[in-house]
Amino acid sequence: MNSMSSTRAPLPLTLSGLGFPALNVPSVSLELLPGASTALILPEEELAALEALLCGLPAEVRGTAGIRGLDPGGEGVWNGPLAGRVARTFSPLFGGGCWLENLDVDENMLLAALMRGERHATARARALALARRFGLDLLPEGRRGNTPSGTLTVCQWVRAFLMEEAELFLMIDCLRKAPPEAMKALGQASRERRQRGAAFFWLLPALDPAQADALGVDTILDPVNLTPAAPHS
Amino acid sequence: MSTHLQILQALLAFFGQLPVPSSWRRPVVDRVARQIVFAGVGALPLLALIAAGLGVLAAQQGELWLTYTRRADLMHAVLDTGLVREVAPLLSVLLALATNGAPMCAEMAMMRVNREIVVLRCQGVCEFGYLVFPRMLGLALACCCGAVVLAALALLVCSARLSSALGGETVTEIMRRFLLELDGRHLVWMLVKAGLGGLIIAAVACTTGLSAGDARTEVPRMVSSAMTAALTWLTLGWILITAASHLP
Repeated sequence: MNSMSSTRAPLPLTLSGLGFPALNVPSVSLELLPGASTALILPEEELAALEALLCGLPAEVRGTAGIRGLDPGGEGVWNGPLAGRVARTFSPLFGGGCWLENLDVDENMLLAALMRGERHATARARALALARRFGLDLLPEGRRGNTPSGTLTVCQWVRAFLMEEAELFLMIDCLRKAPPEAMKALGQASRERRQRGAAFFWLLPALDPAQADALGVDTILDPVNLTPAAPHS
Repeated sequence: MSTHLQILQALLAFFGQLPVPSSWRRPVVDRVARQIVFAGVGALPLLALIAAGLGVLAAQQGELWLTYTRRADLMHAVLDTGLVREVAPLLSVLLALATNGAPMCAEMAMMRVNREIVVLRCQGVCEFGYLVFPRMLGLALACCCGAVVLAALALLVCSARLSSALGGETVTEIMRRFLLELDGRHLVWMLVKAGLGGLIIAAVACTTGLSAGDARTEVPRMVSSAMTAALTWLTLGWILITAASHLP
């Protein structure tokens, strides 16, 4: 037996034979390598179904997903082997639950970092630096309902990038009402993380070439428009 | 797994996490403080009203005791035992169940329906550590404080009532007799009963709420089922503690 193959680290993300009942398109499979940046374009309904699958919820989708070789619906995987390894944004349509209702937006952003044991001052300073990089002057202190949706989008980026040890970024429907200049900063931040080995999976309802260029997406899969998987310049 | 097994698991997990330093992250401590304020400070006016009523009732029982037994020397110890060891923790826990059990269960169920639990989990935040553990601890502490306040106020009102009914002794003198006759073990058992009652209410409310499905219509059903389960657990817990407290 080849000892190299037996000790190979699992891929950040694998999707096998994804098929959507309401969508008459070929099934989608992909293996995301460390440092890669791949976008999958899907209509909103199918996007929501795949998002649910990637959260380990029952979903209207065929096929399987594996995150670092693990089933995202497995018992204890998120608090165990995947804890701190996967950074993500959530679609604003994800049951309204991207944010905990009983916390302010800034408390929401810092929660995971603080629960991992980071000091409040350090986490807040890192979050503020990221927020400024993405074009926010301050961390929003009000509740979700009092915060503009474009700001909430950027706050989700900050929350994801606060995870220093993340090996996989699941950037799901993360461009809604995002300012174009912030998108460039997001692309730059993602390039830096990719240089450190993190993989980026962009699950979006639409992506124009300028956005793909700004975000540094290598491969775009668009099963509805039958765009072949091809490296983007 | 049945809900009752999950409740038992939550109670065991609580005692497992209590001494672990990593359980005491800042958001957890914040949540404990919020729970104490909500359950303890928020319930103070109602607690004072109940304590006043309890004090008057205790004074009437004291007068009856004197009428039937003519043993004034034992009256303070008997009232101490009844109020401090049994009634104060029971009322404190029942008050916590009425004012906190249902909202806590509904909050957990709504978080589940809104997928906030999934959001927490997918960020690597343990829902027991962040949601259930601090609520259990906060409610247990609030119940203990509630029992102490209830007992103290009830004894004060009882002293005032006895002073005016019997004459001869001032309120301060009767209160002093109550305190001198108070057995330290009664205080310990009061805190044990109140604390465990708070733990049970929070464990039942959170566990039942978190087992809700995806529909909002599940929330009222979950609250109702949590109340039933909490009363069952409290009754059984009370019997066990009372039996344990009377072991030689």
